[in-house]
Amino acid sequence: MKKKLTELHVNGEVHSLAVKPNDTLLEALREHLGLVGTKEGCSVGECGACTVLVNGRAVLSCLTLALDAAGMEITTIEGVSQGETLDPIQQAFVDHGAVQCGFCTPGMILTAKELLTEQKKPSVAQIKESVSGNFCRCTGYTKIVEAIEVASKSIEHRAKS
Amino acid sequence: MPLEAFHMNNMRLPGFAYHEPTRLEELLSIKQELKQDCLLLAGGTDLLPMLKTSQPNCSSRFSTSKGFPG
Repeated sequence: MKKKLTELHVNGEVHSLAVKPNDTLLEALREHLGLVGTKEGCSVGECGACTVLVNGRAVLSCLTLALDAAGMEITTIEGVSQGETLDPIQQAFVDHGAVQCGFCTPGMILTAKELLTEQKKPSVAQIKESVSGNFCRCTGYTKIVEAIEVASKSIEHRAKS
Repeated sequence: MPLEAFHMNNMRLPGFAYHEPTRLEELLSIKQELKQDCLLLAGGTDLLPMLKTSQPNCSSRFSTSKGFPG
């Protein structure tokens, strides 16, 4: 199968790489670029563990061809913090015990990032709806929903100060 | 989806050629050449799981996901 040279814009860096047409964005991120923060769960778009942002929208990287993501701005969990400073969503997950095994966490955080970019003050119902495509099999969702709610307030507080 | 489908393959997409027609005429010309041996990819959220789990005998794909002006 013929490989194709493509450019992936990941976390603000441009990577030129040769991918096969049947390489998913998930495989390109994990196996070509070594960005293993993005998790492979079910591989068929049910669990949300592989969620990344493509041009600001949360997408399932297991159902996106790497070639289809060429030239778009891709954000993975590795690109969410500002250096050593955690993103408010990441900090809220830590502070509120919203991480147990951690497998769903990158997808949860990127889904929350899309939500809080579009909706500054989401209701609990909106938060629940937004993470409904991300499965957590450890904790239940109470702490995750709480963390996203706190993160939205923290972002609002920062914007005011 | 039957559980055995998950175990029968390693959840990789089967191999295929990838075409990115930018005009409708180009798409129709490729489609005419390949006849049944091609699939149209729009969003892919149904097509890709189907390919991963059932792997139909099909060697070519189109991508129209970026859209083209007709």
